[in-house]
Amino acid sequence: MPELIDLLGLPLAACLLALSILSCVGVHVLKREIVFIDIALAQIVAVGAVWAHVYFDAGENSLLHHASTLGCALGAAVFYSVCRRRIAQVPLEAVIGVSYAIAAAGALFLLGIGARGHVHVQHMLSGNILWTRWEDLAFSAAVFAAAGALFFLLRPSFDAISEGYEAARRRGVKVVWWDFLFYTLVGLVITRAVCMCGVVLVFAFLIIPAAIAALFAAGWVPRLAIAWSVGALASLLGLLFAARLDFSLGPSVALFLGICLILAAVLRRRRRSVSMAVLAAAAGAYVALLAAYPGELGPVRSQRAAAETCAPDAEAAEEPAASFSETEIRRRLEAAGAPAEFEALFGLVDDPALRAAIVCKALEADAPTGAALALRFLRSDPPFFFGQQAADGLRGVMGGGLEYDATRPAADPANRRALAAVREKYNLED
Amino acid sequence: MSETVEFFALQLTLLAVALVLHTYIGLHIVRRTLIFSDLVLDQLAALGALVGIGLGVRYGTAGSYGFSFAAVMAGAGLLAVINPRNGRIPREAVIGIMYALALVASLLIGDKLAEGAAHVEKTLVGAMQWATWPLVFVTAGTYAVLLVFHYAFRRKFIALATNPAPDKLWDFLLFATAGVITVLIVPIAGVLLAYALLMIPATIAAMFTRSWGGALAWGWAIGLAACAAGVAASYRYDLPYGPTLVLAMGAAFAAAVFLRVILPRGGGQRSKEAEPCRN
Repeated sequence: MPELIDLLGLPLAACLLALSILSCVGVHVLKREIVFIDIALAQIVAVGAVWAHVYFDAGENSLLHHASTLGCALGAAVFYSVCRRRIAQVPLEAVIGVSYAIAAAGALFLLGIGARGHVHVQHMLSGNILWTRWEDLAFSAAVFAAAGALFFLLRPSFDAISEGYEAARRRGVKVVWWDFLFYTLVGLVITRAVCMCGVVLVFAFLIIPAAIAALFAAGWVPRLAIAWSVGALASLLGLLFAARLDFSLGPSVALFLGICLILAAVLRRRRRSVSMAVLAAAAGAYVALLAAYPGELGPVRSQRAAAETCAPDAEAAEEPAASFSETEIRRRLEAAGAPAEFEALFGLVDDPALRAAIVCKALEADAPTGAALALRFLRSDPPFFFGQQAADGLRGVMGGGLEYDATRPAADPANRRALAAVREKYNLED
Repeated sequence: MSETVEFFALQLTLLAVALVLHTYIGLHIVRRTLIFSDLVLDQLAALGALVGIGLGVRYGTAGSYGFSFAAVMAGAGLLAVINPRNGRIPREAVIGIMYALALVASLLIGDKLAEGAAHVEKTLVGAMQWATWPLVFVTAGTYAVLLVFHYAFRRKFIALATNPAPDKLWDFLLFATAGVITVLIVPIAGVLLAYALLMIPATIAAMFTRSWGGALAWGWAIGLAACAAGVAASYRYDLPYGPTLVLAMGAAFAAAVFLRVILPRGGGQRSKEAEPCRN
C-alpha cells in the first residue's frame, strides 16, 4: 500500500488538481457550446512554443518560451471574443475548429516537415502524468488558485454571458471585454493543465465531468459537487487500471471518465433496480479485471524509475545503466521530444548503433541539441558506418556542405575543421 | 505534357473534385454545429486500421481499408443515433466525447502494439503529392456517385439542418457520406488537410450567404483558389505540402473574418434567421 501511494500519489494529486479547476471551466464550456476550445488553445499555444524554439532556440522553461506562449493565448482570446461579437452567421465553435486546423498546420509548417511534427503532437496528446514532480504541482496549484479565485470573483458576468450572450449584451454587459478576460483565463488554465496531463486528459476532464453533472443537476453547486466526485473516482480507477495492466496513465483515466459517462447515461434512463444491477456488474467486472492481473506494480515502477533517470536534473543521467534493454531504449527514444530527454538517453547507452539512432532522432527534433550530441559521438571515433549515419544526419539539418570523412578519425585536420564549423553554426562550446 | 504541368493538373483536378463534396458536407457540419464529427470519423478510420494491424492486416491494403470502413460506418451510426434529449448537453459535446474516446482507444491500442506510435503516425500523415491518375479517377468516380445521390435527395438533407429533431436515417446517410470520403481521402491527404478541406471553405462561405447553392459555389471557388496558391507555393519554394495548403486556406479564412468584422452585418442586426441552426 505505501508503495502504491508512492507511485501513484503524485499522478493522482495532479489529476485531482486539474479536475478541480477544469470541471468548473467545463460547465461554462458546455453552456457556451465551445467544446473545441481545449484542443484549439493547446494547439495555438504549441505554435508559440515551437516558434520560440525554432527561431530563438528558447528552452522549455525560458522567459521567451513563456512570453511567446502567453502572447499566442492572448491573441487567441482577442480573436475569439471579437469573432463571437461580430460574426453571427457561423457558430463560434466553427471558428474555433478552423483556428485549430490553421494552428496545427502552422506548427507543422514551422517544424519544416509533417513527419517530425507528429512526434511532438503525439507527445502533447498523451502527456505523461507519471513524470509529475512536486515543483510542477505547486506551480500549477498557484496558477489554478489564482484563476479559480478570478472565476469566483467575476462569476456574475461570466455566468450571465454563458447563460445567454445576447441577453447579457442587451443588459449592458461589456461582452467583448468580459469574453476576452474569460478566454485569457481559460487559456492560462488549459496551457498549464496540458503541460501537466496532456491534451486528451485535459479534454476529458473539461467535458466529461461537466456533462455527467448536467445529466443530473441544473444548479452550479450540485453540478460542481457531482463533477468533482465522479472525476475523482474515475481518476483513481483509471490510475489503478493503468498501473496493473501497464497502459499509459492519461488515456486510461480518460477512458474511465468515458465509462462513467456511459454508465451515468444508462442510469439516468433506467429504473432503480436495473441501475443497481448495472452498477454492480460494472464494479464486479472492474474488480475481476484487476484481480486477473495479479502482477504487482512492476510496469509502472520501471516507467517511473526510467522517468526519474531521464529527468533533466537527475544526477545519474550520465552513468550508463545496463538495466535498460535495447527495446526499452528504442521505445523511449520513440517517445522522446525534449532536448534533455535525448541527452539523458545518450548518456544511458554506449552501443554505437543506439547512440547513432539517438543522435539522428535528436537532430530531427532539435538541431542544436542533436549537433552537440553528434559532436560528442563523432569525437569518440565510432565505427565507420555509425559515424557516417551521424554525419549524414548533421548534413541533413545543416543543408549539406559538411565535409566530414567518417573513414578517418575525428582528430584528422579536415574533420576537425568540419566539426569546428558545426560548433560555430550552433554556438556550441568546445 | 511537361512534368510540372502534369503535376499541377493532377493536383488541381483531385482538389477540385474533392472540394465540391467537402464544401457541401462542411456546410451541413458548420450550420448544425457538429464540428467534431469529422474528427470522430477520422479517428475511427485510424482506429479501424490500428485494430487491423493488431490482427495482422497490413496498413494500406484492402483489408485495412475494410477495417477502417467498418469502424467509420459504426461511428456514423452512433453519431446519428446519439442525440441527447437533455437540453443542457449540446450534441457537439457528445460528439467531442466520442472523439476523445476514439483517440484514447487508439492511444491505448498503440501502447500494446509493437511500433504503435509509428503506425498512429502513418495514419496521420498523407502523401497527396504522390497521387496518381488512377487514384484520381477512383476518387472522382466515388465522389460523383455520392454527389448525384446528395443532389437527388437534397431536400431531405437540407431539411436536417432546420429540423430540431432530425430524421435518424438521413442523419446516418449524411455521416456515412462524410465517413466514405474520410476513408478515401485521409490516406491521400492526411487527417489535417482532409479536415481543413471540409471546414475552411464551408465556414468562409457560410459567413457571407445563407443560400446553399451560393455557399457551395463560393466555398468551392475560394477553396480551390487558395489550394492552387498553396500548391504553387509548396512547389516553387519547396514547402511542406499539407501544412502549406492548410495555411493558404487559413489566409483566406483570416481575410474573410477581417471582412466580416469590418463590414456591417448582412440584413442589419442579428435576426432570428441569422442565428445558425443548432441541433
